Amino acid sequence: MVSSKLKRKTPQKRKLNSFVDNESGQVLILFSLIMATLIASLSILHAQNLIAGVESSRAFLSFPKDEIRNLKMIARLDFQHLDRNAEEDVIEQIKLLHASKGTYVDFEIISDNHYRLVYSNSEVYFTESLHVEDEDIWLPSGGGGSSS
Amino acid sequence: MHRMRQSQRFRRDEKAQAFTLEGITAALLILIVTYTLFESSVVVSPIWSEYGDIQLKQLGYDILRSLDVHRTNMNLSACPDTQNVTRNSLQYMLIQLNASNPQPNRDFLNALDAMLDPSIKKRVEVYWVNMSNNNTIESLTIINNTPIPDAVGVSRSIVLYPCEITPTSPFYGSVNDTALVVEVRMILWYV
Repeated sequence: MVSSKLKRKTPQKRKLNSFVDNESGQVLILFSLIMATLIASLSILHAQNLIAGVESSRAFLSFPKDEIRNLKMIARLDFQHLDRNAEEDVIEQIKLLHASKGTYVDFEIISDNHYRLVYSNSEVYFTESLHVEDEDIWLPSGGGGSSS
Repeated sequence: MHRMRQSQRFRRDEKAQAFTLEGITAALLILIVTYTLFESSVVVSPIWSEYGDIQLKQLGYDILRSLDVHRTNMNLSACPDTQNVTRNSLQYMLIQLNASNPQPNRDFLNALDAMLDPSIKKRVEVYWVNMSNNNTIESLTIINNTPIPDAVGVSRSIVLYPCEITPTSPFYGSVNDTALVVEVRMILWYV
């Protein structure tokens, strides 16, 4: 036993031991790198899920689909009963009312029954070409009109 | 020699056990760290209050949309032709408003209350442009309740025809024989 102990302490053995130790150190570094990458990618996935959930609800809140439908309904149902002057007055009033809420709204009159609706605020820019039927259509009683 | 090999094998075994222990400890550590990391950053998405706001806002828009009943017909000689305006519609409510005491009509209130849960409180205001007075925006509160900070607002624009603005109407004089756009704003919140 004594001889073996002495033998172990020879420089050659120590050199071999330190070599082995170094190697396991490298393996440790390799594994810790793998683990770090794994945790980092997991947390990125986690964060992206959070952001997606929050952002989609924000997008729902900020996209003004009901307001745009309301404007389109005014163009389809009310403009046909108004003469050009009244129409321009209505457009002016709509512009002012929406401007007070920080939104730019306009109906550009292209021809008699062709308008271009523009709806724009800090988050959304929306534009659509509207063709309004010129015939006098009143809706059947009880109906609220179609919103498309 | 045999004893030495035995002891060496034993030492090697011991080392392996230590490695296993280390491995388990490391795995546990990583597990704890990952768990704490994710647990501490848990946010229910979408955030609950925001989720409730979305639902309330959509409900508000739907209510205004269903109360916006366009005139089924219009007898221009008998204007304001209230016969052809549904009594629980936004249009009728706006036509019948009286400048001295602006109150919504009963049918409209019944329809509104039927669509809103009793746990939801509301405030209704109307906004319009006074074209006779340098295009200033005027407002009137129809249903007066004081909202809490966590309230949502929805609005809908309604067009009133010239003859529907009677001399008793609060909108009288805002326009000179032309159509008037009235924006109905409804603020909703849970109590």
